[in-house]
Amino acid sequence: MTGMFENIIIILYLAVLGYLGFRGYKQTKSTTDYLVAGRDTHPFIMALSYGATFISTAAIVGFGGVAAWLGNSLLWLTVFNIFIGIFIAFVFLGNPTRKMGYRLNAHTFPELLAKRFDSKFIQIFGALIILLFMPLYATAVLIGGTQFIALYFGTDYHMSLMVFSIIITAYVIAGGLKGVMLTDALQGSIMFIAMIILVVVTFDSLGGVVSAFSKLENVWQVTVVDHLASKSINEFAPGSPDFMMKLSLLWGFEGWNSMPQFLSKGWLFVITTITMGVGIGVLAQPQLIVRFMTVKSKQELNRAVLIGSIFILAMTGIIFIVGALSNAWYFEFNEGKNALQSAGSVEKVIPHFINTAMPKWFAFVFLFALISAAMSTLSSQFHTMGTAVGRDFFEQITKKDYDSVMVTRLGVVVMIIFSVTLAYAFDDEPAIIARSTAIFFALCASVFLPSFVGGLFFRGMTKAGAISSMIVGLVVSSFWLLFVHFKEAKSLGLAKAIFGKDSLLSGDIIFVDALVVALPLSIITAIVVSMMTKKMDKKHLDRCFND
Amino acid sequence: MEYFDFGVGLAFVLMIISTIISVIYGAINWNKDAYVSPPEFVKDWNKTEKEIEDEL
Repeated sequence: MTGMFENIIIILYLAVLGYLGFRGYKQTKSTTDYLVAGRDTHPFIMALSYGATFISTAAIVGFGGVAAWLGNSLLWLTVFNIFIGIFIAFVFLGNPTRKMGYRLNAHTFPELLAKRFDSKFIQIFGALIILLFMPLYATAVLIGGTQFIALYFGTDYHMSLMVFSIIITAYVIAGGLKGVMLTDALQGSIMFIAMIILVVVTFDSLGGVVSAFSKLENVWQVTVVDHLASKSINEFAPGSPDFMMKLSLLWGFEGWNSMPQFLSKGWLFVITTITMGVGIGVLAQPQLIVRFMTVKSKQELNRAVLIGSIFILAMTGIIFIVGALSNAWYFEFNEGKNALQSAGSVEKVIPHFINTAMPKWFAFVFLFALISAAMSTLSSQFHTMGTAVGRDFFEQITKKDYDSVMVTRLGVVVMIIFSVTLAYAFDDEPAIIARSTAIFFALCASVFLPSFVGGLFFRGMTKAGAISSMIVGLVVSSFWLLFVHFKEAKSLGLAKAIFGKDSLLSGDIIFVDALVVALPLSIITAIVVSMMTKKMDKKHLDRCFND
Repeated sequence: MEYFDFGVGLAFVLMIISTIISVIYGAINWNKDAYVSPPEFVKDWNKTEKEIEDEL
């Protein structure tokens, strides 16, 4: 009976998605409709679409699991998500982006930069960055969503991946950005409701807010300090729950309610990679920036600040707190074990907690929230990659007058096939989810942020300044990831193959994220080169900045 | 709040303050900065331009 009920709900859900995709299709009559949703999106739709695109399964499953491992220090990421990702982004960057996009008739993020700096190279370069790196992020989200579907319904992973991909393809191709944003808004609403229920049930089961947080100290003492302090990390299998908790001790963590020791490995990881990498990187995400170009006035952006901030608080704020508190729940209801010991690994904590601690009906609701989170992020990614292929790359290379929407739809199909192929190849590496998200966000910030912000606010920023800062951002980020950073350099193995060691540097500096090095260098390059090169034509600048 | 150390407690407070600032900003500016229709001569100019484009 339950299975029958679930199937009916799923069919209804898919039917509503189909209807919204069809509505998007009916309302899509021009290139502007397909690429920037006709520039007349409702603020509620825009805010929820921005939030739902921002928050993927990576945030909920990946980072929620990290919170179970490293505790409430992850709340710094929520501070950045709300203050930088919503307040700064919407209040200071949103309207200038919207106005410049309108004045220059730009339909994509690379096109906006290209028209501002009068450079086709920037448009093609921006498209190539998106096409090279976004599939990795999309693949991570695709794997996360598919694994949940396969686990919940007991279906084959590859079959689930195929069905999941076909559904997303259908509404991205048909509805363009209108279809994507309408479905995002529905999915965002489901995610919001599920998170509210999750936090209420969690606090209730632990005896209230104060009682829940106060229990964490004892759980840390018993399951981590007393159990692991006297043992060597070599006694545990790499990646095992006790190995991970021992690692957190060695990295300077002192409890789930405490920050790691200042400038310790753990502090550098939480602050530079997780908080700054993702928190600042959001400002230069092509799939999010394009949403500023979908509204017709600043009023929609003002309203979206209110809606978006509450939404993000309910997403990352709640999942990080619940992730940390899951340790207290397991300790109380699972024979004195912490979250990692109970679930088995970082990525399994949130799914395991939902299925164990929550009522059966809620596990079903939460499954929808996770599928929604994955679908909303993926559909926006595929739309952005499709426009990068069609509008930013193909049209610029061939210089012929094609049907832009048709080429973009073709681009969407090509990029979905590419991402699905990657998801087939990497399906046994779920740990890739949180890492690839942080890498992609940090890379976008280092490459695009100086040109984007400089282009919006400084008339003196030149074409040469923009191009050189983008190249420096890409080169330095890539170098740091390939040859220095403790995790990526080791996993990729290039430094080992060439120089015979995992990282070219040693000490705690290898825990510093690429963004901390690459972004300042990219900013300095933009300023110095702009000061040294010829200013742009006054007429062109007037067109960019004056109404 | 006594169960958090200073760093986590600060993050918790800043998270709430950031949300409150955003909510207040959104509420105060809810009806401000609405879209203003372009003046008539711009509409006429757009119409003329469209006719020329169609003709071409």
